[in-house]
Amino acid sequence: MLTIENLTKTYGKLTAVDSLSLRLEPGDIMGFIGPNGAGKTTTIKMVATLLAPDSGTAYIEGIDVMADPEAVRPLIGYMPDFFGLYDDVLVWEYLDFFASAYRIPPARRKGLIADVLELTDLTIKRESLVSELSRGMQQRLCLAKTLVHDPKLLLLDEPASGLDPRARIDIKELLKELRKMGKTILISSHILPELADFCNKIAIIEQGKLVVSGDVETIMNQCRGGTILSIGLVDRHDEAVAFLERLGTLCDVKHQDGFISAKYVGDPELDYVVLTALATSGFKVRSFQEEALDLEDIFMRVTRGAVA
Amino acid sequence: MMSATTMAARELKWVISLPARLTSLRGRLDWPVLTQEMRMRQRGSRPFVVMLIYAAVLCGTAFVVWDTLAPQGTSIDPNMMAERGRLLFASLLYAQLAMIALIVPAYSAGAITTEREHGTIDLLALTLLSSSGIVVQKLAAALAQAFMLVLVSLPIMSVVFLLGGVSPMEVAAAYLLLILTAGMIGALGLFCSCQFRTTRGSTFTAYLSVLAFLAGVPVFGALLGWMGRMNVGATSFCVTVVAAAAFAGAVFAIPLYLVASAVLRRRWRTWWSVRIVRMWAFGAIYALVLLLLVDPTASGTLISSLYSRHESFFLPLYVNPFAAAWALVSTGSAAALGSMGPYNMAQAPQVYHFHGGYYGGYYGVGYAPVVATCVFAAAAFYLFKHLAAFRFGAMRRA
Repeated sequence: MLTIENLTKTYGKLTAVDSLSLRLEPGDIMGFIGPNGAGKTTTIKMVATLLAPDSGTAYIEGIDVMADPEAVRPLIGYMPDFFGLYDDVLVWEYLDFFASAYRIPPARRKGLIADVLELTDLTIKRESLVSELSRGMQQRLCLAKTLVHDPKLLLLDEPASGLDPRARIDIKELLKELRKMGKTILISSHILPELADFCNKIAIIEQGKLVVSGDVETIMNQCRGGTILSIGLVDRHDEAVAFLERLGTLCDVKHQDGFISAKYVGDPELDYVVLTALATSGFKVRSFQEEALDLEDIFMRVTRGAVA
Repeated sequence: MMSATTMAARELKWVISLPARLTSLRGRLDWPVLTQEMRMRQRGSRPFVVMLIYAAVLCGTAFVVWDTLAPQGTSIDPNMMAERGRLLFASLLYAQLAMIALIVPAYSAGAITTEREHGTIDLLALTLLSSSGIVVQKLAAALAQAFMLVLVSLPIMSVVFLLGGVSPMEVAAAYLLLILTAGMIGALGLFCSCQFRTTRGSTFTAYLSVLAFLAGVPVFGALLGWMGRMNVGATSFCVTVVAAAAFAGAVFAIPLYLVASAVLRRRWRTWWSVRIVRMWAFGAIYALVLLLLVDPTASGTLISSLYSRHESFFLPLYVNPFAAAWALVSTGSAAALGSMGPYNMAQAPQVYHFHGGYYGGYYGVGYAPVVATCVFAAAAFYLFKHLAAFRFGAMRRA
């Protein structure tokens, strides 16, 4: 669907994007993560044919973005991080404008606009002025505009930036809906948890260089190097630490505030063995769980914080 | 930049495919940018206020002219009435030209830059619309607004027919001049809008260019007229020709330079960024144009042909909406135009004749400046429209 090959862009001495390569299969949702100024927007703009790279190129469905931008444009839906909206235009007029600009015949437009308004939950705002919408609604409207020509690939640059938690959840729900529709999505963000539960791939970029990319699961396991267990006990903590260290499948066993944390390096499916051993040895186990490790932790481990 | 042949071939294709495209007009009557612009421009009270002011200024002009400037007389003398009609026609035409020159740059100079400033330009650039389509639709929206003002003036202008002294043909010529001037200024503003990053820069340049064009020629003409009245004979004639050529050279050299710049900037970016190179390039173009204009062999044909049989009527000096309007409303007396120049306004009322002669341009001078100005305006409209589309397209590709 999308193949980025050695994309490079420099501004004077600053290398914004440094031979970046990525690959998205149809139906992939890739979270494109990096601190501010890492080159996310530059990369997306180059893929969206808005910026010419210094070297390298991108292919969308096999079409070279540089060689034939006109052929690529119908295939992509681009939502910029900073976007303006026309003043003095009603919501439906705004969508009608883009539908017309994407050569959708007038007869089909009315139903189409109703559909995208329904999807973005803006139906009641159909006759409102665009400038009167809240920030979250404007963001959704921009997304609705992006969907008007039914693009196969969505390039979303910080779609949830500057939104309150409620509006952010709305956008998230909307993106889940789009995933169900089978769109391929490249979504950038510097806020990580918002991507965690619907991306199947992530790419982390720092100072224009790709730090890591691939399936979310694979990367999580790579970065984690095993599961971290958190065990709550009523008493006999020090004894338990010694017991667990003797067990062999755990390392880094520590006791803190009534909880014992340990790194489990064995088969993830077999961690119940630890629990059984504890219970049969008479330890009073109150809780036993895998410590959640989210994208944020991965991000902090992988990047060096040189930009942010 | 595409070559002239491909450009010509494209134009030819456009003409040939016209019937086929007319039949599928229903599907083609879909101009999103035009629709959008019209909606945005017409919302709110501003367009109505502008229309009201436009009409008010014209009514005020008519009132002042009627009350103070027109020849006074109590008897109903047809000649006197005609004289009043003629003066009313002239002042309404001048007032309209001045207002169009003031209003139209504001309508078109922000067309592209506001998209840039509002951050909507990326989304527009990614649509499937052609660059020339976007630019032409933007221009059409700006001009539609200007034409609405021109329409507003029609009822006021029609009063002159009550008084007589003005032929329908002259009024038609005046409106053609007005509309083409608006078109030219609109296209110029749009080109500035594609060339500059900010609305402020674009608007400023558009106004400056319009001022230079509208005032530059009359100021220069007044200078020539003054030299002519100093009566220095052959020397004056020579000075006139050379000076006029120098001015005409600038008029032609600037657009040529802009075209050359658009091409050279792409091919030799590093060289073209050096200021001195650009200055020499402009100098070379200017010298070339001057050479063509004043070269002895060329001047034998080129410049002399621009002179009518009245030796001091120099057509290039009338390629200006105000000068053409002056030529139109003054009686068409070649003597008046020639000996005094069009810029000696104090003399104007005395050269009126009301004996049929000026209908249809008795001396063959009355309409020539209007025609020349209209041709120039149409050419400038076409050039600026193309340059604007080219600049916008280049920006879209980068």
